[in-house]
Amino acid sequence: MNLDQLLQKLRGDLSFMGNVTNWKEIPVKEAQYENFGSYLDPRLISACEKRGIHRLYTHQRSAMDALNEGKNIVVVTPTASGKTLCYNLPVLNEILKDNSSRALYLFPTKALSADQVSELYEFINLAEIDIKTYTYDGDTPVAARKAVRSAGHVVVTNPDMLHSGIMPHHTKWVKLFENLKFIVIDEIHTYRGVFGSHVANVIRRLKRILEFYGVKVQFICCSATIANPVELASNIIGEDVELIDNNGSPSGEKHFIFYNPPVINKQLGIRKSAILETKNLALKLLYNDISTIVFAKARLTVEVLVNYLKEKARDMLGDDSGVRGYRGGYLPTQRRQIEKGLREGTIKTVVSTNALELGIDIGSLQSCIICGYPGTISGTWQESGRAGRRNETALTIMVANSSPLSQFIIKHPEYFFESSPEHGLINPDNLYILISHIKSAAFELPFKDGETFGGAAIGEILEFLGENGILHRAGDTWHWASDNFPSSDISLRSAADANFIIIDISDPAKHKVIGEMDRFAAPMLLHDEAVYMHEGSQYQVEKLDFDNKKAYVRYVNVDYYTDADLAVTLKVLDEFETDENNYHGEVMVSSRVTMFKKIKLNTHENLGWGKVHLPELEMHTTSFWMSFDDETAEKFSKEDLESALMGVANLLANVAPMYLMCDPMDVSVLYQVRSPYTHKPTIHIYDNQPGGIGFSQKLFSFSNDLLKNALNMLNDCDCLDGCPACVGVDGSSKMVTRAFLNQIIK
Amino acid sequence: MISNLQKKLAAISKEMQSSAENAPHADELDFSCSVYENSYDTDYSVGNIKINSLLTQDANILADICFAEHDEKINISDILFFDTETTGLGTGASILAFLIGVGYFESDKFILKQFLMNDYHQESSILKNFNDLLARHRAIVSYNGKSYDTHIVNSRSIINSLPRMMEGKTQLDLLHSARRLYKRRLESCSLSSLEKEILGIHRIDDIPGSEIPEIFFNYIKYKDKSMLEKVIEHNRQDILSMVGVASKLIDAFDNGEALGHREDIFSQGMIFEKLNFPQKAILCYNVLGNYPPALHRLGHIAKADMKYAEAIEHFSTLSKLQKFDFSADIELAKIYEHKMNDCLKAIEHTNRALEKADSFLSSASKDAMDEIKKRKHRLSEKLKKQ
Repeated sequence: MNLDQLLQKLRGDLSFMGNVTNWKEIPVKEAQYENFGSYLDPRLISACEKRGIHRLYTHQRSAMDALNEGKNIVVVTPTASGKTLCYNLPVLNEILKDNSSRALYLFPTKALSADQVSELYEFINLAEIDIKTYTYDGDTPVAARKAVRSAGHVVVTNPDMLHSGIMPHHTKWVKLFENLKFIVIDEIHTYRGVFGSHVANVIRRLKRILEFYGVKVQFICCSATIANPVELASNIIGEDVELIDNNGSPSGEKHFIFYNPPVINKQLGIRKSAILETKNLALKLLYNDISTIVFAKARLTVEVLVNYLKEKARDMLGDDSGVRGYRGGYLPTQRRQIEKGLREGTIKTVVSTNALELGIDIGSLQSCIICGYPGTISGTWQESGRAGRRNETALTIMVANSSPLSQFIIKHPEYFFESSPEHGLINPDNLYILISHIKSAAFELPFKDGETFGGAAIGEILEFLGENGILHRAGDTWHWASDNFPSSDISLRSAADANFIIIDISDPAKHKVIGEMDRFAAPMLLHDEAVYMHEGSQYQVEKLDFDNKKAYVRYVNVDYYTDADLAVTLKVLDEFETDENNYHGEVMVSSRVTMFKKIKLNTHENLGWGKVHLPELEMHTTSFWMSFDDETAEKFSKEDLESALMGVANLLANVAPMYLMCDPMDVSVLYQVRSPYTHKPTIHIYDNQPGGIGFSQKLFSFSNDLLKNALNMLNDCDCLDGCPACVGVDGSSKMVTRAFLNQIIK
Repeated sequence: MISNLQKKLAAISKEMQSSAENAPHADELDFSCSVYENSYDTDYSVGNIKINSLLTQDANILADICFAEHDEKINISDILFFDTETTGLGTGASILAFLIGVGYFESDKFILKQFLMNDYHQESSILKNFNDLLARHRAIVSYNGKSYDTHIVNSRSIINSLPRMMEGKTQLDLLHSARRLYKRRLESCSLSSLEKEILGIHRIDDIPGSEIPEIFFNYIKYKDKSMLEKVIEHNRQDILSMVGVASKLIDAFDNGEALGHREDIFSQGMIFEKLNFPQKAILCYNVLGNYPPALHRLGHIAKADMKYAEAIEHFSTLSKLQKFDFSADIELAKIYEHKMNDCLKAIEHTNRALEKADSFLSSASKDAMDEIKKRKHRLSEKLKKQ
C-alpha cells in the first residue's frame, strides 16, 4: 500500500481510530513567487535555473531586498522552504562584486557544516565561478588550515570552533576579519538557554574583534518557528534585526494524527506503553515500504526501539539492515554512514533522538512517528517537518506517553495547534558565562578602562580578574597576564567540561571506543554495573573511571535495563526578591547518584537494585521557591504533608515548563518538608544550569497561576489515585494533594 | 547590570585558584622600553670559534642551505640575528614577545641589542625599536623563528597597529638546516644542544625556556628583576650561539669532507645532493670508505648519471657488506634488468635478495616480500620468452 491507501485504511480501522484524539489535515499550500532582484549576478541566476529554480519564493526575495538595504535579518520559515538560498545568494553576490569579500557561516554542529559546504560547493560549480568555501572545525587537517585562513571566501564553522580555534588566533585570520561582510547564523533557535547565552557572548567578542579591524558586518539569521525569533536573534547579535517570515514555499498535504495508547489499568491510570505502540505503528509503515523516521526523547528509548524493530524486521523480512538507530552518542563516521543510507533509501526506518531535528538534508521521508511529546511545540513541528519534504502526502503520528505533558497535549490538541510556540530565552549576563567570555575577550584584545562588553560596564569584573592575577593593568589598559589559554577551559554547550568516553573491553586485545556522553548524564547512565545500550546492543559497565572520564564496558546479553536514582540536596545562598511566601534567589544544588534499579525488558518488573558510589556534583544556580504556612501544614499529618508536597512537586515539574515554554529538562523541582532556609515546607523550582538562565525570575512573577494549573492538571487526570501523569507514583496521594492545593490556593 | 556583583564575584573567586597582590601602579608611565646593548670585538670567542669567522664567510651559502629565496646577493652586514622571549608557548593573540634580542655586524664589531618591556604599555616601543633595525637589514637569521617568532611579532604588530615589517624579509631559519646536518649524530638539535655539542659551550645556571613565561608574569606582578636578568642573559647567549651555528653550517658547506664525524660528512653529502651539487656530494661520500649509506648514495648518483658499471660496483660492494639488508640487491636486479638487459644477472640478484629476506624474519615486510617474488616471477617469464 502506498501512504494514501494506508491512510484510507487507517480511517476505517476502528481499533486504531478509537485511540486517535485528533486527526488534522493540513491542506496543500501553493507556492508564491517573485522575480530575481535586478542586483543579482546573472551567473547566480543561471545556477538557480540549472537547478530548476526560475523564480524566488517570496521570503527569499524579501530576505535579499532587506540585506540590500543594509539590514540584519532573521528568516523564519518551515523546514525545507529554501532557507539556504536566503543567505547563499546574497553572500555569493557580494563576493562576485568584490573578490576580497569574506563571509562566516555558523552552524550548531559539524555535521550541518559539512552538509552545507557540499551544498554550497555544488551551487558554486553550477554558477561556474571561482569562490572558495571551506569548513574549519576540529576535523580540518592541520595542513589545510593555512589555506582556509588566507584563501577561504566562505568559512563554515561552529560557535565552539569560532570561540576556541579562531578568535583566540584572530591575527592569523586578518584576511577574513578585515574583509568580512556577512555572518550567517543558521538554526538560531538552537542557541537558547546556556548554549545561547554562551553564543551571544561569542558574538560580542567577535564584534569586538571586528571593531578592532574597523569592520561592520551584516547578520543573516535563520530560525525554526519559535515565539520570539526577533528578540532571540537581536539578543544574540546585539543589534536590531528585521523579521522575514512571508513564506512562499509550497507544501504537500499533511496528516497530523494524535494517538493516545489505550488505558490498560484504570486503577493506576496506566496506558499501554507508548514505546510498544510506536513499534507497532513503525512496523506497519515498514511493511508497506514507507520511509519513516521515529523520534524518541531518550537515548535509552531509541535503543530499546531499535532492538524491537530490528528483531521484527529479521523475523518478517529476513533482514534488519533497513532499520537503524541514530543519536548523539554515535561516532561521526557511524552517523555519516547512516545519513548516506537514508538519502540513498537503503535505510527505511530510522530511530533518532532529536539529533536529526536540526536541518540535515536526509532526503525525503514519507512519515514521522513521534514517541512522546517532545516537550516543545517548536520541536514537535520541526520533527514533523522531517516528513514530506517534497510535494507529496506526508504523515506524522504523535504517540503520547504517560508523561503529564504528553497527556495534556494529546487531550488538548487545540493547545498545540493554536498557542504560540516556545520562547528562546537567553541570559548573556549570567555571571559565570560572562566572566568566562570576558577572560577570553581579554586574551584576544586588551580592555581599555571604561570599555563596555555587550553594552554593560565591566570595570568591576576587570578589577576582580586583576586581583586574581589573570589580568594586569598597565596605564589605562588591562592585559592578559597568564600563560593559560582561557577558551580551552570553557565549553559552550554546558557548564560541564569534557565528555566521558565509553570503551568496549569485550575483546581484551582490542579495546574500542564506542561512544561518548556528557558529564551530567554519565553518573546516571554509566555508573558501575549499569547496562548501557548502544546500537541495539547491551553493554555492562565494568568500571566508571570518574576522574579520567572513561567508562569501561563489556558486551552482555541480559533481559533487563538499569535505571539510576539521583539524590539531590539544596541550600539557599542568597535571596533576590520575596513576596510573602514566594522567593527567588541563588542556591547551591548538590546531586549524587546513590543507587540503581534493574528493570526487566518488556514487562518493566523491578528485578533488584544495587548501590552506586560516585562523587557529589555541585551546581550554583538560581531558584524560585514557595513555602507554605505552618497553620496549613498543621492540618495534615506528617505522612500526608510529605505525600502532598511530593504530589505538588510532581505536578509543578510538569506545569512549570509549559509556563516557561522551555524544555522540561531545563528546570528541576525539589520539595523540602522543612526547609533549613524558610523553616517551613517548601518547594523549589531551579534552573538546571549553573548560574541560571532567568527561569526562576519568570516563575516568581506568576507563582499563584502555577498552583492553579497544577490543580487543573490533577483534576484533568483519568487515574483514580495518582499516576505519573499527575502526582506521581512514588506514594503520593491524589486526594491528599488535591486537599493541600485547595488549602494553599488563594 | 548585575545585582550585588561584589558578593557574587567573591563567591566565584573561591572557585578560582590564584593569589596575587595588586600590582603597583605607576603614576607617570614611561612608554620607552629598556635597551641593553653589548658589543663584541672581532676576537670574541663563541665557544670554540671566533665571532668574526663569519665575516670571512659567504652569507649567500647560508641562504642556499636554508633554502631561502633571495633576489640579490646577501652580505653579512645585511643580516639581523633575531630571537624573542615570549609570554607563552603557543600562538594565541595575547602571546607577545616581552624581550626581543637582535645582533648584527657593524664595522668589524658584533652589536647585540635587547629590547625589554618592563610593563605592557612598553610593548609598542620594543616593536618600534625592532622595526627600526629591520628597516636596515634584508635578511633575518633565527632558530625556529621563521614560523614561531615571526608570527608572534607580526601578530603583535597587528594588535599594536604597527606595520608588519617582517614581511618580505629573507628568512634564514637555521633550525632545519642544522637538523639536516646533525640529526644523524645528535639526539636533539635544539639550539642549546648544538651549543653544547658543536660549539662546546656549557651554560652555567641557565633557565629552561619553558619557565620563561612564568618568570615574566612574576616579574610583572612583583617587579623583582633578578629572575628576569637570567632571561636576558639566556636570550643574549642564544643570539651569540646562533652566530656560531651559522658559521659552522657555512664551514660544513665549504669543507664538508673534512668534518669530524662520518654521520655529519654523510649528512653534508645529502645536503649537497638536495642542493643539486652531486660532485660535492661524491667528494663527501668518497671519504667515507665502506660506510654503507655512502655506498648506497654513490650507487644512486652513478645510476642517475647513467654510469651503470660504476653503480654496479658500488651496489655490489654494498651487497657483500650487508647480510640482511637486501636493498642493494634489488638495485642491482633493477639495473641488470632495465639498463643492462641482463635478465639472468637480474634474477641472480633477485634470488640473493630473497635469500636475505628469508634469512631474517623481520628484515622484510610482507609487501616487500611480495614485491621481490613478483619481480622474480616477471623475470622468469621474461627469460622464458627470450
